[in-house]
Amino acid sequence: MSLRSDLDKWMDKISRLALIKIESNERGRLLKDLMRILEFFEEIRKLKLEGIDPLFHVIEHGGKLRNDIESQVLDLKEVLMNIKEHEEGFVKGPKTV
Amino acid sequence: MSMFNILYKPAYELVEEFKENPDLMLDYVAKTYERIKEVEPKLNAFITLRSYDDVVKDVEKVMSRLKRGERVRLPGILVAVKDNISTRGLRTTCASRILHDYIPPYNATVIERLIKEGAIVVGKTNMDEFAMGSTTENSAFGPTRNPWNTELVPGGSSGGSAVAVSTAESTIALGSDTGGSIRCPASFTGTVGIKPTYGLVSRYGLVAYANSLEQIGPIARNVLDAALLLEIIGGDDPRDSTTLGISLDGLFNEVMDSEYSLEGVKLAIIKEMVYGADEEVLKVFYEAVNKLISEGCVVNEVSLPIVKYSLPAYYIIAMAEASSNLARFDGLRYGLHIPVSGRSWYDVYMEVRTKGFGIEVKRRVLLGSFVLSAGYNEQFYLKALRVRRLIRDSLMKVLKEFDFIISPTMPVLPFKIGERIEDPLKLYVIDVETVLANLAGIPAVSITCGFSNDLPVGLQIMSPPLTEPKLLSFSKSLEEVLGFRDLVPKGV
Amino acid sequence: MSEEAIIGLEVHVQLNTLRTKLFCSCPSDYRGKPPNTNVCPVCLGLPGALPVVNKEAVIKAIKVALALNCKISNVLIFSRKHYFYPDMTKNYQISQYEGVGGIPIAYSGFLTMEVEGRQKRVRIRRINIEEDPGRIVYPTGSLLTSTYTLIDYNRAGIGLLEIVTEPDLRTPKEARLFIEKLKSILEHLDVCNCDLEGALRVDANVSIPGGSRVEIKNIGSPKEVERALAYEILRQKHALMRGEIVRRETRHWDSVRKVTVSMRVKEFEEDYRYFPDPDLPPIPIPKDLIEKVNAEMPELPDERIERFVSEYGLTRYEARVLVMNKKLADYFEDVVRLGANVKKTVSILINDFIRYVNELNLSLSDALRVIKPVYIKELVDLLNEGVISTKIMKKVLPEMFKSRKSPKDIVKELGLIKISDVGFIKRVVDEVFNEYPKAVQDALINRRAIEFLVGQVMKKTRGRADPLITRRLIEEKLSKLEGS
Repeated sequence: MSLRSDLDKWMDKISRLALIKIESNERGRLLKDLMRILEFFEEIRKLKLEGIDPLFHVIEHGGKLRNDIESQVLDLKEVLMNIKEHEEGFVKGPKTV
Repeated sequence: MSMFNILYKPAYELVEEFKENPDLMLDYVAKTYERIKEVEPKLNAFITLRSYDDVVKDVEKVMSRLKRGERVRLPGILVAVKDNISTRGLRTTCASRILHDYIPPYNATVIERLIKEGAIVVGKTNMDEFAMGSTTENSAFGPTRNPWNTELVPGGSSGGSAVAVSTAESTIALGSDTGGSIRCPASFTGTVGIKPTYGLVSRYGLVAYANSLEQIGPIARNVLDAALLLEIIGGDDPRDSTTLGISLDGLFNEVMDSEYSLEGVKLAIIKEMVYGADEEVLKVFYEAVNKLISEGCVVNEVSLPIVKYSLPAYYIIAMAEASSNLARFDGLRYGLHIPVSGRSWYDVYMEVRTKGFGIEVKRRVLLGSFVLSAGYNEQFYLKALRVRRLIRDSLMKVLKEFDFIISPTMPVLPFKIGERIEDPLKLYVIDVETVLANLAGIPAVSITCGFSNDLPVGLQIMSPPLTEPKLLSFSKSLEEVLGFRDLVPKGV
Repeated sequence: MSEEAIIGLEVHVQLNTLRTKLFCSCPSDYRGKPPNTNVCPVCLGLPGALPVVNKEAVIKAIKVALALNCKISNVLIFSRKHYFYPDMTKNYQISQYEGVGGIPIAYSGFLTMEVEGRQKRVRIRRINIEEDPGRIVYPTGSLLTSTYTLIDYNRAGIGLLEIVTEPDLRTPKEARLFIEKLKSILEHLDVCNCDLEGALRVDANVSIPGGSRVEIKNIGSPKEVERALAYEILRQKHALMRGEIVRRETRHWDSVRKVTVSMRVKEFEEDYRYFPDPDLPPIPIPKDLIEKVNAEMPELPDERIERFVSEYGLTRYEARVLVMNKKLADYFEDVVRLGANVKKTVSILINDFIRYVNELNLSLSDALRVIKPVYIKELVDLLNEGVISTKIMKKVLPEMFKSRKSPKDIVKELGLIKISDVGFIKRVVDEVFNEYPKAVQDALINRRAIEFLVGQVMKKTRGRADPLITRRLIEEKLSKLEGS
């Protein structure tokens, strides 16, 4: 039972990080899938790789810099085109508390 | 069959005919729409199809341009575009409920380049939601079916694009490849797919799944068409910091004129890549290999134990990046929306994302958040990145000794729709051949090398970064030797 | 000796001297534009849009790093900082990270400032380049009573520098001095126009012996920093004296009510899941770029103070007051270059000009823009030539603010030319002596009562009588009366 509550806590935590709710009827199946995938990842965890730097990006040095010159902005019409709730040009959003 | 004549003509031949006789374009478009009407109900390759009238208007614009003497390289050619590539004014859904009505106000760079050369977007194709999947079953718009046998999957995530090209609903198509999403459906549908060197093609406008792994690439019925499309869409883009500043000008002509001799070409087969592939696939693959040997290729098996870890490394990295890229979907500025009044952002966002994302996307975003989280970041994410370096370095070492690495594109033949979708791991394992190229950022091509049970089998060729001219010239030679191009599926 | 507080500051500085935003080419002057009319796919966070770094932003960051004696990273890496919030278009902020995979643009520097006659060094922990989020507006005006929010993304993507100090500050006054010095440096580097609303934002961390560290967010000016810290330290001291625990928390500075307010305690710690942004590969920062920027560094505040002292003969105090605000220092030099008397110019600017600016509730930069330097020169000349007295000058200056007219015009229109005609003043003195015999008697007994008589002469001449002559004549007359 304590393992179950640990897993529940874990599910709650990642649900919060991702802002995706895990409905109670899905919980069992999803948990099973996630556990199996994590087992699949175990192989990586077990490897000892000190001394190897992580390869964050195949382009290790490159990147681009842009000149500080203005260009066209979007028309308000284009911006609002996909916005379902707006008021006088503002995007309507939920409460912050 | 006369209808097929024009529809199955290669793009590089069609453009010459259209330049000579622009009226042919109207005939071509009319016949394409007849074809679409005929096969689409059985295949479901498109999410959004542009209206015939709109496309005809575009053709007329191209005709004026030709009349004015403008030099365009793809006049009138119909292109099917994967629905994760932004098209201005044309719905772009990523096959997700959360973007079911999103209309981008801008074009992806690759689309601008196509339009500049006179090509015409015929529609947006079906895919696995947010490119997460290998079968085009994870779509909010229903699965796409394999034209060689409509009970079977066409591969994914660019399934719709591959099917459209394979059945001549379009002449060429754009897909995206994060872990094999161009090559897999190319293999399953008997078409040619290229995942270019990372940084060769602009991702500006590609809805990101895993930014450090993915590239937009061409899907076509033969290598030359793919090369032509790649040349047009590729090259430096100041709007994408990850493009390499390399121009692809002249690529098509170089491949066209090439006569790449197979004599003495050194090919490596990585044991760990082919181990575990289905018998039927291996049989066809090795038959093709033998043909190559008889043409003078030298083939050696090498062992790269690190390859065993490529799948978990790939999935950890891809999921981590996906969890970040998909954070922006909260319904406020675009997409699925929940009324906000009186509710906290926490509740609104939770509801939108829970309702809007499909189950596979949810799995990956949840796990991706986990592998990046405090306390686990080092064990999972950073570890996977170290494995990535080892994989990249090992592959590069092999490619110093050998000209190319070859393998079957997929370890299995196309399978029944619904067969693997319930079990994510069963799906993840079929990416074993393809993820290596994405992890290392090297280019890879899939061409058809044979058939088994009347189903196409793909052969994958990988080469060092920025060697597309050599890679595609070699692929063209293989295509000639093996004899499979411009294939017409028997299922429709 | 009271126990000292331990204070560290986190300053967010807007790179509003750039022409465009940090990762896209939208214009950077967003203030006053109608909502959501200054956005593009990148800063709006549309799917598929990609960031590209503004080269000039990097150069400005290097300038600040050099001015703050920092080590500069040899590579530019941006990391994603993940959290959900309505003002975030991507629900992650592109910023920089000290941990694995990341590195700030600069670190391990220091700023030297003068505190009560001695030099104090405040260590700079790091400088980050990052993007500003959008702006949230509450439809009812209050966070608590609004049932929804209104969001304007015009500001989203504007470049920021985050400058973080080590906890080396010990008093609210030191914190204020630090911010003032930093502001002056940023202005002299043309990195930030700090007077614009929201251009400079300070978070302060403070702990006192016996209590935990408290973070105060959202402080907008050096004076407010001092006030907020003074309030908070007192609050903590009182709490400890009452036997309460000062726990670790984040508080919000309410600049209207002048108190810190506890923010809703978050149940969970934020896990930002930093990782290097895969859309922004590392960019090398070559040594010769840093050398080039260094060679082109403008005059910094400390150098300017020295120069003001040696070139213009100002006292160190005068120089510091002027240089504290670059626009004021520039203005001073403009006026003096026109030929105005240095000492009088300094006096007018430091004492009178600033005072009226505060009284009239103007911003200093607005005032400096409105009153042309040549007008101050004119004012100084009028004073120097004896056309007006200091007292009159103090009348003319506020008029200049109100009417925008030149001092010469004002003096003429209001008839404020100083009266030095002894005969005329004598007649007025006689009048005053006649009208106020009691005051005259008082003055004969107690010389200090002379002020009343002086004042009446001034009143009658509307302040124009030369005060020295007036006083002399009154004294003479009183002496005569005594004598008789």
